[in-house]
Amino acid sequence: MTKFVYADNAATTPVSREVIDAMSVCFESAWGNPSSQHGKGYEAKALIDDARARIARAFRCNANELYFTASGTEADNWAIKGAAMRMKKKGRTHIVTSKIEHHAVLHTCEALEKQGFTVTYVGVDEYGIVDLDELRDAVTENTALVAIMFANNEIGTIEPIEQIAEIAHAKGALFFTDAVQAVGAVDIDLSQLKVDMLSLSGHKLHAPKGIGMLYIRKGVVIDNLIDGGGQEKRKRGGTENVPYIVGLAKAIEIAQSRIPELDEVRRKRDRLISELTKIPYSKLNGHPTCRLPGNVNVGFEFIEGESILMWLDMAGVCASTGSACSSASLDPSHVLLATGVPHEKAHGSIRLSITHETTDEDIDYILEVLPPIVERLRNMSPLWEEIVNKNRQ
Amino acid sequence: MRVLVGMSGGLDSTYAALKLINEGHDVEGAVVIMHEHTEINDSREAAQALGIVLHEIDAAKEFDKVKDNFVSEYSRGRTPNPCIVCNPWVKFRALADFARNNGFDKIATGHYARCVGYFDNGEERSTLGRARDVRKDQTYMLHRLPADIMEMLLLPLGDEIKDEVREKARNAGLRVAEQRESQEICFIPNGDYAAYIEDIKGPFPEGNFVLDDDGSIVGRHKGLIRYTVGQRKGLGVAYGERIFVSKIDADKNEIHLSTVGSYSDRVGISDIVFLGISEPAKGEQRHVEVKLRYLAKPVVATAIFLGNSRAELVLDTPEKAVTSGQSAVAYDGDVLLFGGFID
Repeated sequence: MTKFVYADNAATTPVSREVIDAMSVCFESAWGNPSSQHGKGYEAKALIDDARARIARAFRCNANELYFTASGTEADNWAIKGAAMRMKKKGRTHIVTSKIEHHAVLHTCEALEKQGFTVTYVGVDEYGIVDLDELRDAVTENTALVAIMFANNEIGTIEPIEQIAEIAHAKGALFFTDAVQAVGAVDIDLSQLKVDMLSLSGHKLHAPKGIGMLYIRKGVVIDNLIDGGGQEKRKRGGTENVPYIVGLAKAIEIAQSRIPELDEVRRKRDRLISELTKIPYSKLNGHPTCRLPGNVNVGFEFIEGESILMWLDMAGVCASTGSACSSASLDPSHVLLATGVPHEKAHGSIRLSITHETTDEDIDYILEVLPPIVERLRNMSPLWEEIVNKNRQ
Repeated sequence: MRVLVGMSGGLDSTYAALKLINEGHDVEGAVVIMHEHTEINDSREAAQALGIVLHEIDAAKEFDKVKDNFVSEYSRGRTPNPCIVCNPWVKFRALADFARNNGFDKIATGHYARCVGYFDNGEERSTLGRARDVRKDQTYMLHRLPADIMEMLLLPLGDEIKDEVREKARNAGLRVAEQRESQEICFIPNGDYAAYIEDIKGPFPEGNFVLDDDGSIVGRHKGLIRYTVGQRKGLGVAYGERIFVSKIDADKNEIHLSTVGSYSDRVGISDIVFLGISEPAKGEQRHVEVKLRYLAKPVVATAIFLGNSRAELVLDTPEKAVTSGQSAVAYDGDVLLFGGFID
């Protein structure tokens, strides 16, 4: 029987038992509309209020700075479009972002370009760290918003958020960070972090798909993205997704409480990295230390990442080449290209993303099956043959 | 001295901070977050430009009192000025409390007014004096500041002229792009205060327009919060001549109109704050100049003190459209003596 190892937690995570248990009351009895002015409504409203307060405690912010959305992508869209529209009224029509953002950010910025905003896409170094000098030059008094991710979804690089915030604020621009990958992997303390807005997504943290959140710091005003009823203090219309909000709160509490255990995840990550980079013509993508604790991204020359995935899948290992959201496209990863990985090498990279749930046996198994797959694929590769011949001469 | 400067990010507060820095003080900034429309990015930019720390003070809970007061005053047929209560209750209170708790000696803002001393019965009191730039004078807005805040207050722009401030700031390399000159009501940015109030209190019923000249009913009003004394436009009453709101009778839900305008020569005021003088005994009188609206010219009056922070102002010449809920602020020349709410 083949073993099953799920090493694609950056794409999504299974919903945890505790989250399912926490949500069930909302399906079974507390199914009221939180806006209703009767007992059934008040019951649901109380659950949302409690969830919001608990998330606020976990992140050390105020409950009234948290807004629930239907996804991380919605939160990203709201933060960027909302800030752009608001700041346009103050004559600011420029946005600064990085070349390695998730498409939820990049495509939102591109949509704003079509509406007359100008966007600067700041580059990164070979490890994926945003070039702060370039950023400093890019941000001007015309800049409405700086949108730079907390941690990259493909290569796991953690960005210098504090310095980026300072650069944005020095010119009166707002700073938004997409923290979809960072929450649960980095301790988020909003009482210290000088971010104006932060987005997250439930399904990366063992909550269901279809729930996200945007933190909007007190004193920061942005326009609405979704108008409607008076929900979320009139800032985000739509009847609240009570069960998923309750589930999200549970998931965030668990994630934040398990931050101290991440060293264990890091140890497993580093074991994977050190073993996999022993394979000839392989290279770690991203930063060796400023890196998400569960992220491994290794490039193998002369072969296709997609082929590795297929073989891994047959061996019962779930991995990915990069972002699951763009896997339908044949273009190489924009993130790897931005770090200077050449086109042909970018094609041969795979991402393994592990969590607390990944065991040492799982790591053993990956290390048992992956190297032979690389070898087998290289033996079929004409490029590899050339190299072997060259080395013989 | 360690000075905490309230910074909106606008020209005035930024220049006030710069002036204090240039005078050699140890300056830090603070932005008071009052409600969901307070924006901090301009404050940050200004603080960074000056190279000073910016503190963010959350006073949203305290500001709820200002909102509640605004709604209840309008509901009673009065016309409140929320800045007048916000300054002592929220903005300056938050700055002063934060300053005391964090070891600052003084607080400062970019208001146009002077901190002056005034001798009353042989005792010198801290009060406010009209700004050198009289067109910009903001003593009216600050008149309810209590003594413990006055003690800590510096107003660096009291001796400045606005146009010169702009010039000096530009020469210092500061960004002088001016924010929209402070709106009417900062927590209702779209200006639709009636919708804001009805949202909280529910709709206000229609009622009669009563003509003062002969007591006849000349039409229906759309809820008393939509009107203010002295208003002429938007009444929706077709009448041959010019017609004004002369009085709002909340008890009867009637709006009184008049063709001659409403003139008063006796104005009762309550809830007086005494800055330049201590409260005189009941029955005492004093000649003063009094401002009955923020942008009105001061008029000559005799104040008859009634005790319990109340007084009656007898105006030398009758004034038009004296409005309940607005403040009456009394001066001796340029020095602020006291002020209270018009009954």
